[in-house]
Amino acid sequence: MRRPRFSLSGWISDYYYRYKNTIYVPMVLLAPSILMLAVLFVYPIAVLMIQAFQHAPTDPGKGFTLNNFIKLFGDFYYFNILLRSLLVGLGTTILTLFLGYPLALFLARSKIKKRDLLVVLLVAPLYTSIVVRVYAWMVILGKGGLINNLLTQWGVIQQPLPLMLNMTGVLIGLLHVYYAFMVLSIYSVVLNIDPALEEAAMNLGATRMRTLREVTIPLSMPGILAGSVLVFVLSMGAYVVPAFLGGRKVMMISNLIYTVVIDAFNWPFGAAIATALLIIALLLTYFYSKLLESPVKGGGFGG
Amino acid sequence: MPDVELRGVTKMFGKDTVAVDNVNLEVEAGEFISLLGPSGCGKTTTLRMIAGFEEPTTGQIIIKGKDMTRVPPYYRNTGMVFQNYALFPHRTVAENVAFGLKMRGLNREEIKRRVDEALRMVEIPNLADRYPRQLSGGQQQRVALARAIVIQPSVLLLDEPLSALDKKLREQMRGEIKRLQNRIGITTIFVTHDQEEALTLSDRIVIMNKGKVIQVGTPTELYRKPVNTFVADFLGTSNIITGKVQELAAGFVTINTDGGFTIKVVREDNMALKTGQELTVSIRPENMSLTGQPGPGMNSQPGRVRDVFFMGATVRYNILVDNSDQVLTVDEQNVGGSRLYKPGDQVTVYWEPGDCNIIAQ
Amino acid sequence: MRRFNWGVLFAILMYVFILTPFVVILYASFSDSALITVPPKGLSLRWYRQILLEGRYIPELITSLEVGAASTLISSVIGILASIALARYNFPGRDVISSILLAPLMVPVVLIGVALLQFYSVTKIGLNLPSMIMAHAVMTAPYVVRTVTSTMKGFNESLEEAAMNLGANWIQAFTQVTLPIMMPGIFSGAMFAFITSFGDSVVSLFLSSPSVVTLPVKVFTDIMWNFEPAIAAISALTSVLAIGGVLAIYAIQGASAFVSKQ
Ligand SMILES: Nc1ncnc2c1ncn2[C@@H]1O[C@H](COP(=O)(O)OP(=O)(O)O)[C@@H](O)[C@H]1O
Ligand SMILES: [Mg+2]
Repeated sequence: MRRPRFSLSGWISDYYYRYKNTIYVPMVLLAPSILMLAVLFVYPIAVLMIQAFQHAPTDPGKGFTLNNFIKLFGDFYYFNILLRSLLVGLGTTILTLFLGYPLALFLARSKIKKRDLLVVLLVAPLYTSIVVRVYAWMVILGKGGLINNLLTQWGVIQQPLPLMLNMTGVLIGLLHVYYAFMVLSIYSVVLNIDPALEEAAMNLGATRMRTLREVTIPLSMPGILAGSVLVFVLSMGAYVVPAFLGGRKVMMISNLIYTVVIDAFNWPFGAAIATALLIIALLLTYFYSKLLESPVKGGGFGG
Repeated sequence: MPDVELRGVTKMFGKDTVAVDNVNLEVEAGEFISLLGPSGCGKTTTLRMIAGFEEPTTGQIIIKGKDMTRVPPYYRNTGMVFQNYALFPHRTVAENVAFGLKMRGLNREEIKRRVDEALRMVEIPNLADRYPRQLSGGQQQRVALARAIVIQPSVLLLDEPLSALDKKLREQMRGEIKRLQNRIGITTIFVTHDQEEALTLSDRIVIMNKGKVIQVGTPTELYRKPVNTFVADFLGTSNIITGKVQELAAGFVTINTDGGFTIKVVREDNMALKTGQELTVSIRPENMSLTGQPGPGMNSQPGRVRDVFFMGATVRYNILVDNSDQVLTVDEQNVGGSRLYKPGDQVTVYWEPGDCNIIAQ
Repeated sequence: MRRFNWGVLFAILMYVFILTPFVVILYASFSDSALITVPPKGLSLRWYRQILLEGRYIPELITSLEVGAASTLISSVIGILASIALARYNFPGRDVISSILLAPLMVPVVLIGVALLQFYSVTKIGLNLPSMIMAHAVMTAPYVVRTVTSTMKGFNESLEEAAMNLGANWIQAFTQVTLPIMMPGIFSGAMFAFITSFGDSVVSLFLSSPSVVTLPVKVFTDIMWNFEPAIAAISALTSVLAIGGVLAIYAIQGASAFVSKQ
């Protein structure tokens, strides 16, 4: 075939072909994304981490210092928030796991026709803004909200129940936001367990419960672990849920960062808190790199 | 001038894998040539270098007199049929076939005319608007062929095109490919690991093993005069007999075989041999015969029937030669009235000295 | 007789829990009073009128769409390029690079927010539409990289070779054969990117400025200062669109667009 007249695509293609088997092609292809992430992700976070070791406005001085970290871990108020975030993360993980496992099992093992539709319905809320979902919960849980209204009308209660602006509200909100992540992590693993294994166990005389305990649950461990790490990291760093459903009483680490940086303008201290959060998140994901294979394709991690 | 020429082509993958090893080959215009060899011997890699998907580590590839060694595939004008057809799933049959013509900037009427003609040639003009997933394996095969020939390539490259089809269809398509190639007279390189395919289709066969070309020749040449035991065994079945030269006579050589008997073999004039030299001889099973009586002719060995394989038109016997560990495979025509032997029967195997092929050591 | 199926009951309860909030805001959005109560005292279209006729939330909606579209375009283009390298090439350090590209998925978003706020202030780039778009591109590129890389790994490369064999140069082969065939995968990746950007409130909150207020940020501040049923109306509108969109894609493409079955 005759070479056509000059065209840009032909010119690029010829270069691509000439260097196809060299390292240059992947280098060029990766350059834009690496550049973007280096400049707008790695570098800013590195700068932030360095700033964590600088003196805060409230603590004048020169050179590097550990004072910000000493304050975070030494001051009961701040340490409490850090600890609370970890506990809320743990609580959310446990809640989603115990309420999620049965549903995952049900979805994976039931023979209903519209199973895919149920899965999609589980995922669909992830495509709405977390702000919207949290707002809905405020309308449900608030003093004049749906639950308190109904219970008062029916005469079950006289005083409105405190369902939000406390730990209850935060846990309900986080359960709702991260439930699907847990269910789908487990679901995708259970789906790949050969049902014949369970049948074999029952055939050998194991009861339903025993089969679950000794066959199904151990085999679905990868899903349980992946879901747990995912939910823990995400809920520990939650922002919107505690901001609205927790209020001042149940402030969490992300809210603290916002307050320290935006309201108090104390960058070094904010950077120190952010560094602590980053290290916890990285340690967790480092020990469980499977997180990358999260079965939920989309869904905002933000929260 | 050959249409396609490979000069000392070697392809290495990494430092250790030599996929193709110093291959030299000339394919004449209009010739149908097969690359035949066991899986992993470098056939696909050779074809991909001709098409331009791989670059030779050393050597040259010349197509229609032009050095194409470092030219990208899209300037080479070869037509390739991939092993799994590689039909574009998002385009109809007609669009698949038209793709190469569009790339060549032909006008719409010309494209339509040539697509119709190509589809008629492969006998599927009625499938133009189907999508590949709506076609059977044989139909997909035809589309792939039409797509490759419609651009009137310098050479048609086929990589095991029949391997995905079942046996009946494979034999039918084999005939059609051959007729099509005859009709348009296109230079064709056909890759296969199936000796029957290569023997029935090809003008010449290139036997490859471990990246090297072992022998090139017409099917009859290769079948009658394999240059080594690999070829003798790979193309059909051969009885391989090794031994030492015992006596040289005019026109004949007597060989004392390692199995402990002697055979006589026709000696070609130009063959330099000396007494005591080690030799390998191959004889085709169909050139050997069985008889119940003591043997006639120059080569006859008594033996006992070990196995009988009934194969329809022929019956294959494995005969253990008396007082020897040599097993000879014999094919007998299964014609009416011919006698069938049973395992354990005492028989005599006999053959003509002229049907023995001396393999150079 | 069949045993009572506790599994079905449990599943129904959990789906009620998952879906009730959306029903509630939809219901609340028709309230006729300025105080949001469920059930509402009377029904009206007042808040929808405010949004659709008077344009309340419309500027922020437009900002969100702009940011979402621009950041999705950027993350898709560079994500596709990166995916070609990750899926087709084996080079030293590939796994490291791949985890760096996916890293924004693994750190809490609040970190991206603070780190970029500081970066934009220190470098004098400032808070504006382009800086918001780039922040969202960082946040969303991993979704594209992840889905497109796995789609590309499943792509039969001989299709692209067939196109080149027929005379298409590499760019033509890639755009006319490879991309169209990979479209479902690219579409999912881009859709996740867009949805993540469109729904994000945390990064946007850190990087918002008077000139760049995205819809979730506006809703966020309205919840704090101006708790009116108009919030329910805009929430209901966007949720119905999002969930409707998900169901529509499910109807066309099946569940595989949303859940990977390893
Ligand atoms: N892209 C590749 N990378 C590394 N090794 C390869 C590649 N392609 C082929 N090979 C090796 O080269 C040899 C020849 O392969 P191939 O040409 O496909 O053989 P054939 O088609 O005859 O079965 C094999 O050992 C194969 O493993
Ligand atoms: Mg091959």
